[in-house]
Amino acid sequence: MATGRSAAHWPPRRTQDGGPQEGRAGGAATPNMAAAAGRCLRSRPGRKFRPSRFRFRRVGPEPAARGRPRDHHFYEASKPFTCLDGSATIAFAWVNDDYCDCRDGSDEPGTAACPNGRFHCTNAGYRPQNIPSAHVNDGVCDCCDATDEYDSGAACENTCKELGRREREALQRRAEVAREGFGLRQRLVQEAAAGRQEKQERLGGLQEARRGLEQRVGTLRAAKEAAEGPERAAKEEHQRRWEEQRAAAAAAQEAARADEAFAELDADGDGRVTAAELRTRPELDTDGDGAVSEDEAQALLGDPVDAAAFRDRLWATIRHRYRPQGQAEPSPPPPEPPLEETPPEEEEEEEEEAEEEEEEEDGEGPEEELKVPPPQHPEEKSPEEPPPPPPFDAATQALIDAAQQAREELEEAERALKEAEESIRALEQELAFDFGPQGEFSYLYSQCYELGTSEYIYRLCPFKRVSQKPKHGGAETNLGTWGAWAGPEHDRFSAMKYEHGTGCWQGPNRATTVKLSCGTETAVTATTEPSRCEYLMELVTPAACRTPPSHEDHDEL
Amino acid sequence: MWKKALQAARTARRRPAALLWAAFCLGAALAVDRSNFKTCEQSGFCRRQRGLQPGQSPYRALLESLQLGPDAARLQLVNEATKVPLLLELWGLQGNVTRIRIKELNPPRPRFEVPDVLVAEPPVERLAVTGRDEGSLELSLGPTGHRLLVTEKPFRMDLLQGRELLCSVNARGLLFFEHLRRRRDSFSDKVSSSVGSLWDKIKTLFHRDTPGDPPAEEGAAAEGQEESAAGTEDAGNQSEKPTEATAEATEEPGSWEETFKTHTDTKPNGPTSVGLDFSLPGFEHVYGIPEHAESLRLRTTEGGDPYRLYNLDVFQYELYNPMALYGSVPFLLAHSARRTLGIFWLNAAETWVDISSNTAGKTLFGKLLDYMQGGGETPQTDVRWMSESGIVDVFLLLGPTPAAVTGQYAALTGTQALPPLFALGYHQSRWNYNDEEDVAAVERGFEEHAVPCDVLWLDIEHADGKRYFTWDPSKFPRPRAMLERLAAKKRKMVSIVDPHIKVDSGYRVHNELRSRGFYVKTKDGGDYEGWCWPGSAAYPDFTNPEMRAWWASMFAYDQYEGSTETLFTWNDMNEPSVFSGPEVTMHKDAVHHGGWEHRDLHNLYGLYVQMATAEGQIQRSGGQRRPFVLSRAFFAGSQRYGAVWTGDNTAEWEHLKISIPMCLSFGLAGLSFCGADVGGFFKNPEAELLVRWYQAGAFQPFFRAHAHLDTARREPWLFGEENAALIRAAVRQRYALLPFWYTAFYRSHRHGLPVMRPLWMEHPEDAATFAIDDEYMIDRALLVHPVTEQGARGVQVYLPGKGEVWYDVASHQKHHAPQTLYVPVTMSSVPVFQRGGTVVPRQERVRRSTECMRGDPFTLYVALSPQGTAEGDLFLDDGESFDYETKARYLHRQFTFAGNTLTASSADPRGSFDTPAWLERVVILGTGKPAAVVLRPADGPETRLDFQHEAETSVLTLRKPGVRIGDDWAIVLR
Repeated sequence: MATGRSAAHWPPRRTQDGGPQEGRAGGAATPNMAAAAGRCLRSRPGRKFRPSRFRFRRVGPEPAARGRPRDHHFYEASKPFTCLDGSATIAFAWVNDDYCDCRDGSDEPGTAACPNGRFHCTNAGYRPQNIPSAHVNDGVCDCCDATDEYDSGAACENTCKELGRREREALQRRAEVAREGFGLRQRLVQEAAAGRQEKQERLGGLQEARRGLEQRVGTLRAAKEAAEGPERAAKEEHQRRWEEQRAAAAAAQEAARADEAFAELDADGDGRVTAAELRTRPELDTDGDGAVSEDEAQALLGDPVDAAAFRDRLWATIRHRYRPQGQAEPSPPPPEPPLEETPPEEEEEEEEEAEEEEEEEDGEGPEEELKVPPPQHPEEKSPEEPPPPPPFDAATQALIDAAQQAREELEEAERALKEAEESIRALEQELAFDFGPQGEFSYLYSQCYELGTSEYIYRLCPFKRVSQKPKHGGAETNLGTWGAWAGPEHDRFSAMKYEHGTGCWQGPNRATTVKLSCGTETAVTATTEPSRCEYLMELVTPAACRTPPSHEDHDEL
Repeated sequence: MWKKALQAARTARRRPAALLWAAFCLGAALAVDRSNFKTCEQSGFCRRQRGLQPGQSPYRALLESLQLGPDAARLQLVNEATKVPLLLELWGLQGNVTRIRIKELNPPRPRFEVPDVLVAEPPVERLAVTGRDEGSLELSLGPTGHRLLVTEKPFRMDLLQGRELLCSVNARGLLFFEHLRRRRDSFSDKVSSSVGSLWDKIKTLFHRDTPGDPPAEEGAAAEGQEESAAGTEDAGNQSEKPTEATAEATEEPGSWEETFKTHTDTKPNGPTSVGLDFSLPGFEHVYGIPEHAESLRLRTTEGGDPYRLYNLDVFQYELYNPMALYGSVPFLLAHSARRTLGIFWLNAAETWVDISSNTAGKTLFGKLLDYMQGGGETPQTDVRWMSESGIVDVFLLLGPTPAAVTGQYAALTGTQALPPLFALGYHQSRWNYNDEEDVAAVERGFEEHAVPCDVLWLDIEHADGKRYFTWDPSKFPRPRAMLERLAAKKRKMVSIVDPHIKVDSGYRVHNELRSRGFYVKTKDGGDYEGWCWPGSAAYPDFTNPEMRAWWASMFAYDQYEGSTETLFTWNDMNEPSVFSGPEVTMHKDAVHHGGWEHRDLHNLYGLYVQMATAEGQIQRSGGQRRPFVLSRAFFAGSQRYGAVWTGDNTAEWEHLKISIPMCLSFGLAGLSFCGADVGGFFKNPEAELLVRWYQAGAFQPFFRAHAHLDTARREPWLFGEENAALIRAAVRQRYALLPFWYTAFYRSHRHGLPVMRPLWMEHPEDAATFAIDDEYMIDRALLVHPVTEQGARGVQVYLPGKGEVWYDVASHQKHHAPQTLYVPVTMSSVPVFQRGGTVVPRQERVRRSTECMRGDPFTLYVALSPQGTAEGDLFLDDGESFDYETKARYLHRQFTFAGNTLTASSADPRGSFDTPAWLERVVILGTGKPAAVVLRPADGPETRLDFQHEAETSVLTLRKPGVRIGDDWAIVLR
């Protein structure tokens, strides 16, 4: 200290300095001050500050440390005092006389007189402190050495030793955590670097594979197209032949039915069907009176016909009405069974979709799009339906098999390509993330952390989203998805911001700020909702242990 | 603190199905939903009363029935249509007050007369009959020279002083007293009010067609019993046609049952309303009857609804509107350059007030023309009061000065309770501080940012499931420790205790109230239950003195667990608010102690809640310490129990602006301890608005920031360092002026003067001040014109007082009055002026709370008048106990500057108080540089004082006189 006074003398102890200080104050003060001093001495002890109870508080090392030019003139009793800001020069007796003369408050370092003053507590055993002058003698114990309440009657105890001890312990603990955390962080940094390299390599590999796959897909597509041409032609030929066969068979069948009918209708077996014979078949009635009249029969038939003419001409007219004999009135077709309600199936589908979505979210997406549709069960053919086409001949079948194989191979290659692309996209995204200056936060990328409170379970999935789920049932609420690093400029990685969560009634969308602090484990330690729908979460992580432990921290103590 | 919609919305948050409903709410929540509240037309009695047009009154005074007692004069009035006799009672009260009471002479059942509002039976003057002739009677009202002229037919009264007519009663014939009657079952009685108006129209048509139809006679015949009771020698006058409206009263639909929205009011007593008109010749300006979101000067109500007085929880209230709000004081003031007069209508039922004026709408030029042509009428304001039940009990406060009127009102209803000093500090509130850690963090914020703060507040979420008197066990597990931590920093806490009690058999408070039969009852005799914050809730009957005593006992430290002597109380929702009730309040047919209907005493409920709570706080300290209770609902007399505020306002500039006229109106009606939620309760204020609101709030009596649950945090330091500094400066100004505020409150407490006053109270003859409500006086010394415009570059400040001077407290610059001064402003400006001729005491060592400043030295700001004089005073006591009253432990100092000498003497030698506080500094504004300054203590030698003089502003600062503040001394400038 430039003044040559050791800090230990300041502030002077009350018991020692009371008398002399007072005397000096009285002597140096204007006469009215002395008078005031005299009166005030009579006021109750232990109440508020009395003007005369002159106290002299050293400002401590701080101002000197600030390198003020007049340092060595500070508070020297023999000289007038010049305010530190130079605003005034006053008699030394006016220093610490409980009246503010300097605009900067520098004349009253030991009293509450100046609105902008500071009071220095040495706080031996703990850290020194400069408190606002307004806290001097205000009845609240601010300095742990109790020096700020020298005249208020407040019963303050010197707690510096205890505070110092606790602080040291806490600092030690913090230092240990910081040290251990820093070590862990270094490992995380290494892992991140290794992981990054590994990912980049993987990416390189994947990109390589993609190129190969792209080529292969191209080749296979051409092969598929080449195989499908002959396949299509053979199948068409097969189809054409089959249809011809079916037409011929149908014609033969119809002729046979006509002949049968002729035989039935020709009741007298004379090889001709006559009008009279037709009239025995009421189902052939055309005017709806339930019987076939002479005229009707005549109109249908004209002249009696033989088998060939019947087949060619009359059969086409009556075939839909004609019923072979012996067959009863056709019963109406049985009512169709009511359509089965299908929701269950739909639900299943929805579930499937939901699952698919989940899968997608989980990043296992590529496969689902290539999912083979469930095989169609060949439905049982009703007797009226045409018989199944005959199997392909061996040559056609060989072409089909070849084409099918080409298709499958292409599909497989495409699937592999898509998979590779997905992986590349995910990797690129991850690699593009800002995981801190040394990538130390990258390990959080695929993790989630939970914290339960009395009402909710909060879930933080770093770089993804924050959510809240009621403990006693109810839907999850989105408290925000990853936005950005949100710490102050010099310390950007000390906080994360998650935004655009579920909207609030009459308010904004929910958002969460996650504050990161150094710890040896990774855990969410607290969550609060300081403002409606604005959440604050605390995450401890070794990645936040940025400073290597130093020994300076607790040197002050 | 209207939180219902939100509650619903919160539920909705978890159930998407309800989102639509919430969206609907969102739309509806932007402004007051007017359809929730009655218009006069929808309020049966108001419609009936207002249907009566001015004209010849059917009432006749039976002058020969006059009985002149030692205290009062009594005579009968009779409605010549119904023959029902009324009793008119007249008192001349000491201090220029006339009381007029009209009730039924022989009511079949008692009618409600408001108890517990008057502080005592007012002392009376002896009345004398000083004149009498054929149709009139003249009474002398005591030694003040006031006379009352009673005219027989039609009945009217005229109050005169000398030859001057001050006030006429029933001059427009609007006395309308619905006597109690038996129920007749008829169709019209059951018509609900919603169809009432239609019915009314049909009937009016019918009437026009058959003018000779005498429905009144039918009605009278049906009430034969009453007719016989009314039988007098004047039956001969029956042929005279009664006025239409009076006659119709007996037929009016909705008289025995009334439905509003889904609520039916069974009216077992039928129509019971009372109404009366007052004419005030020579008055063009009327004020008072809070609470309305209205300019200071009341407007005429012709063409719209009357001002309504009915304590209601109004969600997002509208401004400049006669709708009822949370509190009611039926006290109106009229002021002219010549005199001030007050009308106090002592009725606690729903009340409507119509104001009309013969000059309304006339331009100044038009008035001038009238005057020059000699044909113009005297300007006159007419006021008509209409109440749903009770009696006519009205006090005419004859002033003649503004201070005399407020003093007369205080003599009747009591003065402002002297608040504990801390309550004048800054209050930090929010719905809600979430838990003990949150409270600690906010408190730390005040420390770190050096913003003084005395009290932190806890809204409803602090209680366990809205069970008042309890604490949420997970959020506030150790309330006592929390309170002790605050107390160690000399800070207090306020917790909310609302009067709706959760119906829950596991809740002790409920069980006791139920088992003791202390709840308000339904008309059928069960406990009245409604829906409020806790869900189903019941309402303690605060009108029952035993219930109030029990409630008070609940504040004992062992009853209210976790409470300490630094925990104080906020009574919210005490209109009472009933979410499920008609107009969000209690059913009028609910039954109170003594069998009275809620209808009779609705406006009194909130007063009783605050009364019982304040009593509880006094009792818990063994009668030692002064209570602090904030209430949202109030009535005449509520000033005796604590503070009130303007309820759930909004973070908008217009709401900031209206806080001034609202609190001025509160003050005129006796409620000096008024404030508005700083920042606005609903919505989020921008930084500029918040800063301006702090600056304005720092100069309003009750200084509390509060915010809705859905708003963003807004503690003073959350808007950047620049705004934090501005807010800090505003709060520090408040603390430096606390001695001045405290002295003003003491004056209010002693003399009933509002702390925050309209300019016209201090300059009653200056008509330019009569409508000003963007600036005001604090006590008699400071004129404040807060900046309430967004982006303001300057404000126009009117400085009143011919030949007076004012000093800008920031620059000390002197301004001559009267003038309208343009004051340029920056964000740090709060235009405040000290009146020349006053002394303002300050404590300039601003600390973290008021308690920390106790015993700190004082600075006197002596602002000289053009005559070189000034005076002011300082009241000082321990700031927390009743010792000032019970043991005369206080100092009331007088400071007088005259003949270049500042003298300190005792303003009240009865008091004495030991304090170490001393005089730190004297700042004399408007003086030249003296050659020397000498201090002459009462005992001891003269000493010279150091001083500084600034020639530019003529400010003389005397350094450290050092005398004790309680001593007598003189300082001489030579």
